[in-house]
Amino acid sequence: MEKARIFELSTIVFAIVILTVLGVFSDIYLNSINTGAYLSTTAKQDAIPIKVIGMQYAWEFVYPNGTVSIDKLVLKANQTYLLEITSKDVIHAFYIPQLGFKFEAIPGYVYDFYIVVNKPGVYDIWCAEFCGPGHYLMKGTLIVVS
Amino acid sequence: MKAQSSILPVIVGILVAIIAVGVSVYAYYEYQILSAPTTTSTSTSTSTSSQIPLKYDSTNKTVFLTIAVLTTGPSFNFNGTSNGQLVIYIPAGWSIYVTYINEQSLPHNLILLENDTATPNNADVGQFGKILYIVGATTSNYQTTGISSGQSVSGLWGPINAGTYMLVCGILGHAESGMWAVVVASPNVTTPYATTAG
Amino acid sequence: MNIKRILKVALYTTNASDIGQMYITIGIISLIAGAINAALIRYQLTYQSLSAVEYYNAVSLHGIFMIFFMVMPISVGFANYLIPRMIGAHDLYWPRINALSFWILVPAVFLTIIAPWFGPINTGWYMYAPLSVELSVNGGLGVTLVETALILSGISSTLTGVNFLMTIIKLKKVPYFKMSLFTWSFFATAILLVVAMPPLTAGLVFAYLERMWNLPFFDATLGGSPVLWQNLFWFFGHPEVYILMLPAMGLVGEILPRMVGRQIYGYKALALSSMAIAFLSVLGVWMHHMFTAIDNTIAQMVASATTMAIAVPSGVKVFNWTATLYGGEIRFKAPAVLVISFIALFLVGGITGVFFPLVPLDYAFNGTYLVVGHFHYMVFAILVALLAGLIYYFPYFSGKWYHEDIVKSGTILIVAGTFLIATGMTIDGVLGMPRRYAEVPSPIYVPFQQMIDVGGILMGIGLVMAFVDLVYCWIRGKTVETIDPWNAISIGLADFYIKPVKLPLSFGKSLDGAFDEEYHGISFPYYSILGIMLSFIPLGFIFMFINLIPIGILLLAIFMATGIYWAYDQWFKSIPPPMQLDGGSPSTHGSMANGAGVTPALGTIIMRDARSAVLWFILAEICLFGSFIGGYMFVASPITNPIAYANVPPLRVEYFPLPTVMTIILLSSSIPAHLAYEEFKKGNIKMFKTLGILTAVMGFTFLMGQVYEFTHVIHFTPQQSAFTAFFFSTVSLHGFHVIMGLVVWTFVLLRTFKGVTPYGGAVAATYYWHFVDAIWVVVFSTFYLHLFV
Repeated sequence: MEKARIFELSTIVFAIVILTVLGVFSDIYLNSINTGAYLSTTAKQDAIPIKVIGMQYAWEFVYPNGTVSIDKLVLKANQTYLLEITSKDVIHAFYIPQLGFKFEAIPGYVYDFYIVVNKPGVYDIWCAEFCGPGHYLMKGTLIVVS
Repeated sequence: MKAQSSILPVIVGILVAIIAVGVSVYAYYEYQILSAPTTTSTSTSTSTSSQIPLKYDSTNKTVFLTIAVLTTGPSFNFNGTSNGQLVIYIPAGWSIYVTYINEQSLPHNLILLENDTATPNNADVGQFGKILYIVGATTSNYQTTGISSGQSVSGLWGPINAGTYMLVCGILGHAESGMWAVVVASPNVTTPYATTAG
Repeated sequence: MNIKRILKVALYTTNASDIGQMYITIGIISLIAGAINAALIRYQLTYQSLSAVEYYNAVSLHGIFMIFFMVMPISVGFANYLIPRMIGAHDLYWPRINALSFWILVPAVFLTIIAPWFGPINTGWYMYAPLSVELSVNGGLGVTLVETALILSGISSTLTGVNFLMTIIKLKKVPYFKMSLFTWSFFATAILLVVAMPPLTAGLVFAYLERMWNLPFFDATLGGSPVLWQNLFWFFGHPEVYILMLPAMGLVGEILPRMVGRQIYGYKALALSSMAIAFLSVLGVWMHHMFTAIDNTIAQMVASATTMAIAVPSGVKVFNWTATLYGGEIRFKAPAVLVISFIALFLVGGITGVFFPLVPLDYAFNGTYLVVGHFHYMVFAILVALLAGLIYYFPYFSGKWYHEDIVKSGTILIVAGTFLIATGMTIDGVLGMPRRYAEVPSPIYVPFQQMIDVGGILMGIGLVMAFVDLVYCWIRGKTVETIDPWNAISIGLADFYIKPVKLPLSFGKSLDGAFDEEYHGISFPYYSILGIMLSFIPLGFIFMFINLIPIGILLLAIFMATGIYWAYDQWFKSIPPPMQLDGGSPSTHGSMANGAGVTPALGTIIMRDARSAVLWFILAEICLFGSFIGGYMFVASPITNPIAYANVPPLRVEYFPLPTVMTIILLSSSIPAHLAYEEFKKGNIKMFKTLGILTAVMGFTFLMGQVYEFTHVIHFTPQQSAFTAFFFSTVSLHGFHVIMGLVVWTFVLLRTFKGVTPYGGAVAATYYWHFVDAIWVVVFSTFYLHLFV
């Protein structure tokens, strides 16, 4: 086999190896995020459920005691919560840019994700799926208190 | 083929390289400046329920009210307030000459609503109250139409009988998202004023 | 060329070279429309002086014009112009359907241009439901007209796909592994056109019916699902990006070696990797657009793995193109600048794309400018390759030379602009800026948005420079003195199998440029008229849905009347010669009259070709029906639509006695159909006719039974739930295909009675009929017997 062919085949093999390694790692993390496997069982059992409801054009948060808050979510640092994400009307996406957290809010579906924020502070909540002319104004605030 | 003046592509190439490098350097430095941690300027909503005077003409029994939808503060706001923080007191039986300015690119209109519920509970304002007056749209297109981008519109509303009303934006979902204020027309009010509850 | 000649050629031609030029023209018009929308987007993001609704119209239309009406028509245009010349065919397999395909597209572009005046189009280019079907944001007819335009465009593309598959397989004069690389890429593209367009058409029909007639396909409260739209759209959408990319890669495969003066490195790898990309793009890849919409780890992992797999054949291509640059002497003309930039843009775009299949990263970056940056690298690569094609083939097309220094300067500006734009977008995405925001949400993103503005200005200047020079030189440029403008023949890399005899190879000229085409005996421009009138069907239904029923019926009637007149005039009045095997070269026209000159050997070839054609067409139909039936199974399943499954009670349809009896009649009609075919093959025309009539009568009885069932037996309305919506639309779709089958039988039998031996027609009628019956088995099992859900 000439040099060029060996080079070509080795680049292909190299690419496949890198992609496979990256893929395996990301799949492990993916499973961990989706199922909350990175949390201890007690943390998951004690997770506080919060309903996150997207609508045109605001975020509605319903705490377990029934309190409804618009565009403002207050969480405690280091406490595990279970966000139940859905929508009232069209598809939105619940996005916290500083945490890299995002999932779509789809009417007729409820998506559950565990979340634990360790650093107190003020974070942005933005909508990341086009939902109408008010899409860019659907801004909320996540306040994590210690 | 005779070599035409091939200097033009070279000049263009050099110019383009300068522009590209320049823009990249500029963007990098601007980004460094803009992302430096700033002192968080929290806009504390003053909880002093001080009275804000309003312009009026007692001979015509008219209050002059200017409502602006700002680009700072809450997205769905009147004069920077939302969720009923702004309360406007007028003498019963007076009229309001309202000037409505929308600085946002998102369209909004302004409706005086005779409301049935204490807070908006429906995306369509017509479902929780009766539309008395409207500027920036009509009673048939208020759910989707408004003014935007610095446009302003005015109207004379009244006379307004004694009672408590809501000032809302009629576009679907906006009032529910916080775009509402309160109007109180009372025989106990002699001079019009407004307050912003903290 | 005066205006009269141009119009005559445009309206009457069925010549692939002319049709290719018309496709490219419509693509350039759409490029201008898309660029205006891009300028509006940049204007709003820089100055914030549009309204949000206008901004989002620009966002949606920018994508729709560029993808559907710029890249696809220019690619199909190149295919029409180049492939027959490259494989030695005198035209496409069905030149008349080729003309029809083009003219179907013309009203589609027109409707999209006028759509914003009929209602907001605040949907984005991928038009997610329920936003696209919700009338509070997207009221009026704007979105409906765009959906209509895309349905028409899909029909045009599917017909083009089958046409090119038949052309390449049946008419090529070169062996497969000596075909040009552009032909290989378009071969792969044509397969994707057949398989991927029908699911889009199905989804658009659902959205159209939900908007205009309240059928709740995507409404979760009535048992539908918004995720269904996502699945249907992206099942189309992912192969679509390869439909966009493969022809551009093919052009690079043609231009690069000729600019370097050597054979392409790795011809076989490049040819086969195109087929591999097409094949892989249809498997599980589409779900990588939905990582943040589906909470199912297995599905996400499968989509992630298949997406990364596609990187391999793409990487093979980059390697081979780069290797070609060695061992030759690069002539740095404008096309060379562009193809080298293509490789760079594609490579960087590919690297930005690698992050998305790593799903936790996608959770952070989906819906941000990182996606926008990634795909702008890719579409700019495509644009740059298409421009390279326009410039490289310009001397052939016009017979003139362009000014190298002006066009090359233009290309430098364009390439610099594309890199600045896509890089600015990518950086903003990495910093987290969401896409489709009418105002920049935080100041840290602004410097990079300004970088995009500068890039846009450079790119605009470059495009204007290049196009103005091309147009100027087309009219007053220096004449090309040779038939080999790029010295391709002299280095053994001839561009075309059909060598040009004389340049220019322009509008209205024969494939080798030797003579002007004439249009004998064609009295009426049927294919342009019928193509434009196809739009009357969806438009007619729009009028009916908005309560202007007489206008709607009038439009449908005009279309049907024209169609019937065409059928009579072209196929019955003077029984014309059968379809030519070499694509209708003028010299053999009229040599076989009334089918009487067709020998049995020729008849066998016609039948075999007809079988291939019908089978490709049936493949597209399977993808269409699959979308309807699969769509129903999606919304009715507790796995994919759990909340609706729990909350919306299922509806049942009685399958006994009427539907069962009708099913038996329809399925039994396959027996006379099959026997008719056997009798035809034995030469027993009389039995063929009798059994054909029997088949048609049984099919007609089935249809009448369905009409009775719909009007007297069924008690629910289509609007009641997702089940009723799917039931009515799928059974009606099938009924429509039964009608089409009966029309084919009637047509074939009438011609047989007139004395024609229907070689192709017998195959088409019987194969299509068996397909219609087989589909009914699936429809009946799904909607009446509930065997699956």
